[in-house]
Amino acid sequence: MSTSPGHEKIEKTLNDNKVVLFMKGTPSFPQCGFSARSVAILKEVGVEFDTVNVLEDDEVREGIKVYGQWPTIPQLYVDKKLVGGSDIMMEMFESGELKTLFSN
Amino acid sequence: MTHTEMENTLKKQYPKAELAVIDVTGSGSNFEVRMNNSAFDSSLSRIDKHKSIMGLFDEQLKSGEIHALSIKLF
Repeated sequence: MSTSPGHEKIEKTLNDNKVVLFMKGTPSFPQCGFSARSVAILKEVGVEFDTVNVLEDDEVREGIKVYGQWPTIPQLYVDKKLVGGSDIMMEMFESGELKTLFSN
Repeated sequence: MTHTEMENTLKKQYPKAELAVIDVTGSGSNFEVRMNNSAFDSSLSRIDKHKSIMGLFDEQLKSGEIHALSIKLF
């Protein structure tokens, strides 16, 4: 199995937290419009989530792109599985799928 | 990379797709791809459809030439 930089840190985060948003900045101070939108969606759904600010850790910033083979940030993980970026989150929010995902 | 170049890349891969690429900020780095869902193999999951589009621009996403790539499938 290939390991990327930051692989272990990412795995530990995902093991410890059910809902994780890898984002630029923090929920209070997002550093990118797409990250801000993702936080807003999760708050609207009302789920508890943890965030990782990739701008504070270059290994995680690069590693997360390799980890789920997804080249952009933000990225939402639920139960260690990549759900998608902000477009997919928005689509799933509008269709109600996101709410269903968290109610299970 | 221009939105026209991106459209050509996408058309080559998905000849039957209805598609449009919008240069959101006019700066050549922030794009939105709009495409019809039926252009894809119906067995593909939503995440795999997005991945297959992003994969076409992997090099530009890695280099930072493309900063943001929004994908809207309808």
